[in-house]
Amino acid sequence: MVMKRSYTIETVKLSKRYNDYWALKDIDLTINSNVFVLMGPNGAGKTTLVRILSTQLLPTEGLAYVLGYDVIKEANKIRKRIAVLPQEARPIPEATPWEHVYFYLIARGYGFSTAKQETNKILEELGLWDVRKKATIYLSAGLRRRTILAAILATHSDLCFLDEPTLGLDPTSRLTTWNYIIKLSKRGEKFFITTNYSNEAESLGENIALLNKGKLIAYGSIDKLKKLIPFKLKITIGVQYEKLPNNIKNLDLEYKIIARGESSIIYLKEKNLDQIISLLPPNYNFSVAEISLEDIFILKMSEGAEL
Amino acid sequence: MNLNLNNFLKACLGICYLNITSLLRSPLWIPSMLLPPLAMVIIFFIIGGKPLAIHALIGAVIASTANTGLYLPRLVILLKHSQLQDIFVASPVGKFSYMTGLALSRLIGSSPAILTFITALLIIKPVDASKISVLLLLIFLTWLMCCLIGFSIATYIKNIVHADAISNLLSLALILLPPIYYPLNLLSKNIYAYTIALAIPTTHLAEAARIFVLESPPPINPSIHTLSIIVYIIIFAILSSRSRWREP
Repeated sequence: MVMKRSYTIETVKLSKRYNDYWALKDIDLTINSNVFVLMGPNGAGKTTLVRILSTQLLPTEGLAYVLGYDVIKEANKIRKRIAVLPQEARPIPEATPWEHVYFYLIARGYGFSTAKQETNKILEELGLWDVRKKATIYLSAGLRRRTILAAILATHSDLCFLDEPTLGLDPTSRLTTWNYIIKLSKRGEKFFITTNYSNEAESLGENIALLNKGKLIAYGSIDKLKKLIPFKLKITIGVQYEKLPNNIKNLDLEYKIIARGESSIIYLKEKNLDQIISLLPPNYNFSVAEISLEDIFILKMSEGAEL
Repeated sequence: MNLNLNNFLKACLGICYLNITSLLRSPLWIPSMLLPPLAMVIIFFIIGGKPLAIHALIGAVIASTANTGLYLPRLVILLKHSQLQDIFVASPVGKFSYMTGLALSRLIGSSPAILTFITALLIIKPVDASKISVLLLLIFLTWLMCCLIGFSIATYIKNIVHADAISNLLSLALILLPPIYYPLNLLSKNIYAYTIALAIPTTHLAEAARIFVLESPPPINPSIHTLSIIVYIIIFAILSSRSRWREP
């Protein structure tokens, strides 16, 4: 098969099987954006895809090219140009953030003075400077996560795979991390990010893919993804689904109601807005908004799938 | 093989340093490495006086070095479990650099104990420079063989809960029971024990040290020990080279 190798990442029918279970099935992807975000529920296959593309795991079937190189036959060429943040990576408890970043860079072949410069820089950028000399065992889970993230980002690799990079980070640290990733991406560094946070995907991703049960179910820019959904608006009502009047549940319109704890969400077309609102009892609290990436995620995942 | 020596050394340094940070931050590791072999030397001194204590000192040197490798499975599994190995797999750091870095970190950890027992041996039984060189060579071979054994076994351990137990069992089977702290000829009256002892790789290292450094009368042809050491190193090098850097 002749492959175009101009993409950052390209996969053809990429599949991975563990015993009888297909963790990934027939993934066809072409990625050229600087920041690509892969979203999906737990167990969707996101980590398996990252592990294959970052040369940690062999696929069962299919082809994959990263930075133009075959992940199976040319892994060493890929490894020189990538870095990966695994989902549950934990630092060595007794080593400090500074030691982690500096010696990881040294291990990758950086010069001693460059490694020192880059270490100091990234620790300041990610707010780790004040704790740089503390063994990571004494740091919070968020700071430990940031330590590993700092080591990966400090490499300035052509392509970084970040598997749920902001897992366990507080909102401020998450924002700092996003901003830094955006800054690096503007300089031409590329990122493949997996996340469960739709706001993270919206903030970072030029292109977003949705993965569920090992299959790619949607892929494109946020605008393109929005077009995959027949609804443009949503009404959030402060009433449980079970308590909604039957005339709202049984309308002869194209719409969808999803229960969400103490409230219900009606996804609808713009032209049906007035009609549905007129059916709501006057004592109901509700708000109207455009659908977001989270809504696309919820709607696509609920298409024939249990949530 | 396109091996850039500079990058190889840097990879070893980076990995080695990260894995000795626990030793740098806790001085307690020195007595923890030193006391178990010292206890064996004292026990053999009580049992057999100075002659047996000298044998036990040779054993302490070999045992302290062998421990560096035998506790490697624990380290390898721990790094795999914490996904730090994954970070190195998806990087320019190769499998050989990674293994060497880890092995060096353990050798550095054991070096205070090794140096202490060598010093004690030289004080009790002064030997010439050529014999010291032979002892250093045997220390290197012990480190090499036991690290290869450690990596070979780490390849087959899938569950972190077994890591500690396996390292302890290895230590029992390769250091405590065979003639490491005591000479092989003590087993000569029991043919089964004698034969089993000869099948254990570390026996040959300790016996070679006794023959070439202490000039003990060899119970068997010394070339058997030399040959056995070489064969075991080759076998474990092959087995450890089969360890998977990338998961299938």
